[in-house]
Amino acid sequence: MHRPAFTLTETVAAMVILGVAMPAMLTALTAAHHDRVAPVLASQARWLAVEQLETVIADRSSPRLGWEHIHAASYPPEPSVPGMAAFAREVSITETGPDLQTAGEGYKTVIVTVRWSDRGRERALELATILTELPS
Amino acid sequence: MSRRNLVRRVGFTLVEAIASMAVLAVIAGASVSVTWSAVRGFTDGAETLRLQSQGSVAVERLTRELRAIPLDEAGTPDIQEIRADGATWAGGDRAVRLESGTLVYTRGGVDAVLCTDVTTFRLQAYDSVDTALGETLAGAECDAVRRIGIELALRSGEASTSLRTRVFVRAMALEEAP
Repeated sequence: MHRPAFTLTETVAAMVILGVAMPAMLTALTAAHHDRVAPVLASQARWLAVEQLETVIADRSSPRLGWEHIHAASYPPEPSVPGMAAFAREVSITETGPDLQTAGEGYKTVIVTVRWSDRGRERALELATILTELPS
Repeated sequence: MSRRNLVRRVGFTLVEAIASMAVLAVIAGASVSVTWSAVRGFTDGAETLRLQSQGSVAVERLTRELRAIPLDEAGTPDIQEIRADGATWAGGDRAVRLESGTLVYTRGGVDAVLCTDVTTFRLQAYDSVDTALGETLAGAECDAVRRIGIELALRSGEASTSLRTRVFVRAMALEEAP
């Protein structure tokens, strides 16, 4: 009388297969977790970029700062944004003519770049606006 | 074939079964903490994403409202009060406040929930040269406000997130030099 059953060899083989599969599954689960967190960092970066862009726009409209204040030296790079140390932020400002391409005056393209590291990969987000000189 | 061979069963002996269980117990014990950590991280990640999404929508709405603060008769922002955890503007018609972990926006006397699970909500007013003003401003003290910083932190269980941004009151865009 033979009863169907696992042999020790079969059982060990099953455990070995599970042992190989489990780390792969857990790695996939962890990767999925990181992929979920990535948009959170991007969202935080976006709001930090908005924060800087609003500051530049406010400076342009300030009677005591104004148009002449809007140049890159007024906004030094922040290798670590205060209060949000995982992010770095920088501002670039280019003055052009009305076509926004050739050198000229009256139009400033402001680009705020926020950088952060995500699982060893460098990420960056840019927000830009164009400022014009206020009518005198 | 002897009778003994006829009844021989193919399967585990007791020793083999115990050995299998012992090996399985070691493997299971080692993987349980790793599995738990991975699953916990996954669920916390989902909750963090929910919080961030909720906070982002709330800040989006709030920045739009604060950018659109109108001018009063004196040509200064029509703000009645700015505290660390709230503000009132537009002749008292609009307000935002933190109430028991819930961020509430009021317009025309009607409350609307901007977001829940709030642990920190902080407003900070700045003047035209980006100097921080007092933590609590009321009446004429609000005339100098040009920019408003917003900080929002949310927590639910082990998941948490934070947002920070700033708003320029657009009605002051054509302000003339004093």
